Parts: sequence; C-alpha cells; structure tokens
Amino acid sequence: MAVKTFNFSKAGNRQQESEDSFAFDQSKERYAICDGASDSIFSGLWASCLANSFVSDSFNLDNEEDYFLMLTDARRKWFSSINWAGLPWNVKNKSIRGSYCTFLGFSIVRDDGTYCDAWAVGDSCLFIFNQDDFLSFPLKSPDDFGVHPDLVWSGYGHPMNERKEYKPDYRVKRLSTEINDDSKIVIATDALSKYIMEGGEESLNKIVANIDSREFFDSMRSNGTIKNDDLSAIIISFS
Amino acid sequence: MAYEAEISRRRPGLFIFLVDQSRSMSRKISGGAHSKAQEAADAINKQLNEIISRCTKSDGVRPYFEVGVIGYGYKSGDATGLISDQPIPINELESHILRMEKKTESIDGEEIEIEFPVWFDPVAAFDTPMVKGLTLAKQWIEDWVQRNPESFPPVLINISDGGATDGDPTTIAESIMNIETTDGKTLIWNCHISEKGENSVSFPQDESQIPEEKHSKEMFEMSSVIPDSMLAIAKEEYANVDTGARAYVYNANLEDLIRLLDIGTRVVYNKVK
Repeated sequence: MAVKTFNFSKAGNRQQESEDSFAFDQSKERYAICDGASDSIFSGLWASCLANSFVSDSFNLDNEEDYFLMLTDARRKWFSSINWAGLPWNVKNKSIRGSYCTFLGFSIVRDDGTYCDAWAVGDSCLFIFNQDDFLSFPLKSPDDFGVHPDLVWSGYGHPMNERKEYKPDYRVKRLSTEINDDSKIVIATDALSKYIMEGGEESLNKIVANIDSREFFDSMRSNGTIKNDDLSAIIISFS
Repeated sequence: MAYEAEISRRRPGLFIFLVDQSRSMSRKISGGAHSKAQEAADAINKQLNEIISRCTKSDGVRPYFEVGVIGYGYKSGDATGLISDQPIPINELESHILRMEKKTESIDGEEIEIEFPVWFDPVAAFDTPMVKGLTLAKQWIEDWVQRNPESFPPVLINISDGGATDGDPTTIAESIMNIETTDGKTLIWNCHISEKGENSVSFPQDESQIPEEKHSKEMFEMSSVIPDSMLAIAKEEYANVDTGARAYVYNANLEDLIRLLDIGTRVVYNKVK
C-alpha cells in the first residue's frame, strides 16, 4: 500500500500559513484531514490537533461518547499549545471564541474482506475510485459546496474556558463500505474535492501526476480551475 | 463593473471613514445615551477594531486593508486625518492607538472584560466643511488607486448630521465615485444621523422616498448605487433593499448608524481570500 500526501497553502500565502492539516498512521490504517476555518484564529493548530487525535487512538465515531473523547483530547492539545498569557490584545480578543475546522476521518477495517469506515463534519471529502466509477462522501455533487460548511469547534479559549463546560455538537456523517484491492482512496479538503468531483478519474490522474508541483496547482488556481484555497490531500493506493 | 476582486495582501482593500465634527454633533443621537460625535467616534473605533479582528491570525495582523479616518469641522473650514495623514495598512494601526479601554462584552451569557483600542476621540466644534473633507479623501483615494489599480474599489463611509457649509459636496463626491480600479468605481456610503430619529429612510432607490430638503437630496445624490453583488448583505438587515438602492440612510438613529457601518464593511470583508 502506498500513501502520498501534499498540502499547498493558498496562492499569496506562505506555506506555514496553510490552515489545512492531515495525519495518518499506516500501522493503524487511520487517516484524517481537517480544514481550519479562515474566519477563526488558531484554526490551523486546531485542525492539526484534531487530525492527530483521530489517528493516535481507535475512536469509533459512530459512538457519540467516543467522538466527545476524541474532541476532548484534541481540545487539550490545542489549549496547551497556546501561550494565552502572552497573546497581544487583538489575538486574545479573537481567540476567546475558539477555533473551527472541518473533519474527515477514514479507517480501514480488515475482516473477511476489506472495509472502510469514514466520518465527516463539513466539506472535506473522501473518494473511493474503483474500476469504472467513484464514490464520494459526504458531499455528492459540486453544487453541494457552499460558503458555510459544518465545522468542529475547539471550545472557548481563555478565559471563557473556565466558565463554560465544553459541550460540542454531534453532527457526524458516516459511511461504511467495502473496498477492493485495486481501489484508490483520496481524502481531500474542499477546493480539491470539488475539482475531483467535477472531473472524476481525469482530475485524480492530473493530481497524482503533479503531486509535488506547487506550480501546477498555482496555475490551476490562477486560471480559475480551482478556487484560491489551501489544497491538501492524502492519496492511498492498494496496488 | 464586477466588485468581485479578491482581497489579499497583494491586492488590499481601502476603507476611508469621514466624520462630521461640527458643533451640532454635540447633541444626543436618537436612540443613544451619548452625543452624535461620541457615538460616531465609538462606532468607527469599533469598526477599526473589527477590521483588525478580521485580519488577525495567530502570527499577527495581515495587511488585507488600508484604512484612514478624516474629520471635518474640528476647526472652522478645515479637515484632517484623525489617525494618520494618509491611509495606512491595517497592521500598522497598532502603533497609532491613542489608549486602551476595558469594556465588558457578553459572550454566551457570560460577561467578559475585554481590552479595546481607541484611535481617536470625539470632537464637536465648528462648522461642516464636508467639501474639504471629501477633497482630502479624493487625494487619498487617487493616490491609493494609483498604487492598487487592480484591487477591490475603495469604500468611503461618511457620517454627518447635516449639510456642507463650504459649498456643494455633490460635485466632488461625483468625481470620487468616478475614481475606479479595474474592478469597479469607488463606493460612497452616507449616514445622515439625527437627534430626532423620526421618519428614517434606509437605502432609498428614488429621490421621492426622502423628504424635500436640500441636504437630504444632496446626500442621496452623493451616495453610490449598491452593486448587485452586495445587495444580499444589505437585505439581511433591511428587507426592503432592492436593486438600484443607494448606500444612504437618512435620519439615522444609533442602531441605523451601527448597521450601516456593519453592512458597508461586511460586504467587503467577504472578498478577503
């Protein structure tokens, strides 16, 4: 099994300013991608903490309690990574309201066949390419990409954290399906997901052929083929 | 004219706030506890803080906008920059803060003490040299457009409680509205604030919707037609806004003032990528 990844910040931004994040653990066969919301602050950090929490344990997100445990773990990492006392006034004022990101977690289950479970909040998508077609989750059509996707919240920052208990909503969409030995799996954030949905395998082949080329993605963003956004993906091939 | 240009560090946007500092601004605004001058200064300071907040990331403030504030009437027949003598990038506003104030903000039912910056104080002193204020704004806008020819067009928001005392402001306003980037012409928003708070008119399409009064007609004429791409946001606050509406509120109370500033800036925030 081969895993390839990339994460290119939006045109005009430095690479470290990308608010997309992914994590994977091949031994556990768990993969996650998160897209930090640009309206909130520390959202790239929150995206990273959440993706890492998913892959570092075996949370079954069908279970609301597991989902809450995963978020609590991610929130702990997020909160402890910020030097709250040293924040300038403007960062401090904004960070009180916490951070937001999308989430897509993907796990391979081997039993008497090969299956996968996927859980999603928002518009980061999973694609499973088989011989003649592909399946997408949670969105099905390019028209489904809107301005305000569902997001996972980090909970409040300091000092609200001391006054309000962290109570996240459970709005997780779920997919469980069989996969084949020749399946190709892609999980990607929204702009790239829309491009894949529009072009199917042809889009996927172009992405794979240019996976190391920021110039390729920049040119697609500048000619309007893809919107100017952070672009990231994990591509898994079984063969 | 699209009004669709993406706002980025390479192609920033421009906000200019014009505020009347005439003597009559010392009277209390309808619906508020303070003078028109105080409420206008508070509303602009708050908007500057909001613009900074929108541009704040964990690594600092990104210069997606330049801003400038012009006051007119602080002394007879004169206008001046209140924060700086030309528009400055939003990330440089920090070094122009007059003082920090502590205010209480309600978040999720909890009262939280937050520090807010103040960049300028209210003044209510002399006459209403609006033409002078617009002339200074025109210089700033011309210079900015020369440096940023492909940016989202400048947005100028003028807050006043009466008519110009130094001539006809419509001529200079028209010439400002004709300054354009490749994405569209400069937009002028006008807020006529009032101590009476009666018969306010928001975003009129037609002159016949506002009272037969010289200054109200002038301010209607010198207000831009809201581009179609921005109508949806104005409609969120004022259901009656329709195609052809002018960016103008007549006889505004405090709530109208705050809403106009919010709409006028929010339509542009949405272009930040």
